[in-house]
Amino acid sequence: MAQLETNKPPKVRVNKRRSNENLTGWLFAMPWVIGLLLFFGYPLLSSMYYSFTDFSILQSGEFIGLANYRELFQDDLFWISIYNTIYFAVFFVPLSIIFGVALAMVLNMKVKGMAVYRTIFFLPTLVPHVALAILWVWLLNPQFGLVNAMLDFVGIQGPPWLGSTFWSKPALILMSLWGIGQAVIIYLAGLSDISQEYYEAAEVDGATFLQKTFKITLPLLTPVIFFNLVMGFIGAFQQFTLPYAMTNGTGTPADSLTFYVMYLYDNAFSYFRMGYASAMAWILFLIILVLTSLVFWSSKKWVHYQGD
Amino acid sequence: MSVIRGRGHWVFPSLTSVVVVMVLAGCSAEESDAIEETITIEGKTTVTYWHNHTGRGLEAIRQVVSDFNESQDDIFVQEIYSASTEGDDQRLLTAIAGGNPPDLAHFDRFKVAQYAAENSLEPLTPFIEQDQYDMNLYYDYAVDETTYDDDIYAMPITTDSRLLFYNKDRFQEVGLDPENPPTTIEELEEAIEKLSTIEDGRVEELGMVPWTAQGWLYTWAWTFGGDFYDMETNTLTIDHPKNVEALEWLVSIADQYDAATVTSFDTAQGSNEMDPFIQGIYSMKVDGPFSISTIQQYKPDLNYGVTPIPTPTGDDFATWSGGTSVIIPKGAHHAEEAWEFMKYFGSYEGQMTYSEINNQMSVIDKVNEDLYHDDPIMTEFIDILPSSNARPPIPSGQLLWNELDRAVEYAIHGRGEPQELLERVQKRVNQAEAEE
Repeated sequence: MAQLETNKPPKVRVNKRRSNENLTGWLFAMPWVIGLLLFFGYPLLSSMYYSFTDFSILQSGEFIGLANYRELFQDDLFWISIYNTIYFAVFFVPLSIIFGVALAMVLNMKVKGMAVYRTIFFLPTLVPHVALAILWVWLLNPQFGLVNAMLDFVGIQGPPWLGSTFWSKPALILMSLWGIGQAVIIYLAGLSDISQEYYEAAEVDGATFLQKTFKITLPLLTPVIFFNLVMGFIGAFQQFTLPYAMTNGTGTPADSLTFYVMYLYDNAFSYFRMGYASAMAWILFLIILVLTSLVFWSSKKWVHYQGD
Repeated sequence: MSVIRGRGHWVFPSLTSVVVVMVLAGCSAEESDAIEETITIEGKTTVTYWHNHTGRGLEAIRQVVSDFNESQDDIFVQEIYSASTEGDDQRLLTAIAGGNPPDLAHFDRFKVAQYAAENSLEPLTPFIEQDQYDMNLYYDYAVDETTYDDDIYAMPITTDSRLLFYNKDRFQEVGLDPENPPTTIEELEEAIEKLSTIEDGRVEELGMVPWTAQGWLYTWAWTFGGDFYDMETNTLTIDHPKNVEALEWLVSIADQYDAATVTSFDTAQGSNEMDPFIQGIYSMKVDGPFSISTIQQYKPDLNYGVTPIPTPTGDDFATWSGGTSVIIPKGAHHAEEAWEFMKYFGSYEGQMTYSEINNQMSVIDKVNEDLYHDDPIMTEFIDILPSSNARPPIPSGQLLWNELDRAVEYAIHGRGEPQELLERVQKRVNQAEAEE
């Protein structure tokens, strides 16, 4: 090893042709790089600066140091919106994984007409979120909604769903699960990636269906689960359209559906407190950063790649 | 690869041109997508006017604009549709912030103070003084709402009011006199009870859910004799004892009929045919004149009446009004010409044209009388206008609105006492005002 370290790396001969190729590559990438710097990098850094100002959009901001952050920590609604968002993420993400994987396994069976079933489960993800929200508001209406009518059929008196501070979040989780088709597609791809040899070998050993599921399928699906877990958390923390459309932006009843990004939006565009909203955005960024780092860190222990 | 390598010297210029074309395409696409191109007519100044009207409203605005244009030698007003939602007008906001606003914009009067405080509107006071324009033409509250820091910032255009709608057939069914609707809160409570049927804990019909439709705290607090703002001293009076009393009354109804259950009927809001009053689930509601056309559309044979919202004493009926206006954004290029159009829109003639086509209530009493004197329902809405109230014209008007809504929700869902909740709103809004 020591010898290797003292060795100089082989000198790369940069001939003209190669540098031309480099230049060409960079030039092709340039529109994208410029776009990134201009429309992503600049707003990003601006928002960090604005989070330290009292900026109203209409008037340039005044630097106020950490005042926005200090005020946030004393703001009831900030904490309520964090609580609601975490509540949603904690229930929605695991449920979406359990249902997603189960559904993918069912849709992976070799049955006639499978393409039709797969399409059926994917279709809801194509419905625009605002339309989905309106649809579910009807479905969940306790007076003439389909959900409670079905519960009634089996002798259960349905809850008042979106009228109650207790049931509103479970209702939202229920309707969000409607859109897991996207994740199911990814799980299906993951499933088809698992080599048949493992199953054949297991069958020779006389493994049961459950054994195959828990010893082969799930472990080998962990890279995909890991991916969906990260994406799911990011998505859950940015929950906005459904509750916003359902409650006309008010988070009714009694703030039980006021999510973090909704409150951020209110501050930015209803109260003209863009600086305050920027501070909220950066806090959200940090929360998501920490969470995904934790997931990444833990992934070494439970994610198995084929051939490992 | 070989193609590119072989023609290396072409790459840079061609890429540059690609970028240039993309940038140009981006610009023009954005322009055509964002807003109509401005029309220029030789010898005339073009005044751009953004509005969010569609259907009948669009027809009305086009008529007013074309009537005005025909009378003009020097000014041409171009009406431009610019989508905006009820609460937020982000396109106008960014246009003003970017220094390229239209000359005129249709605007919710309620937000005038907030934009004026941000120094984003052109004050009309100099024009008014110069022309000795008579703002007394309009209802007092409408002008109050356009006033911020002693300056007037908007020309009021429309208004509304709130009354009690009641289903006459249901009144008859339960033995209430359909020609004598309740006038006191006590009578209202009795009517609610009579008109409600709850079987095995399941609500079949409800007399009324006072906090739905237009039953905001503003509505009930003014009905109870409360107030929110002292125009003389510029102070907020949100925890006024009568306001607290009104909220306590709402809580008493919520406790009696279980807030969660009754509120859930109302969650299908925004879908007009699902309105519980039209469905016959509620026999009464507080609403504005805008719900008349919904009833006409979805249940034209509904036998209903309107009457002033009952008060604790059975007299001193009160209501409140919102409405729209036209503003000149800060940075408008043709403010002078824009004012000329405003004067026409605000005149008897302009108001007659617009209100008649759009079926709206005017801010001029005489227009309303002339248009609606033989319409018994609209007459009720108009009769109450002279004593109507406007929401406080303060920069934090939107915050106050949201916080009052929040206080009602918290109170009816048992998450706080009315007195303490309203004190909290007062504190929060005062704090925001102090930061202005």
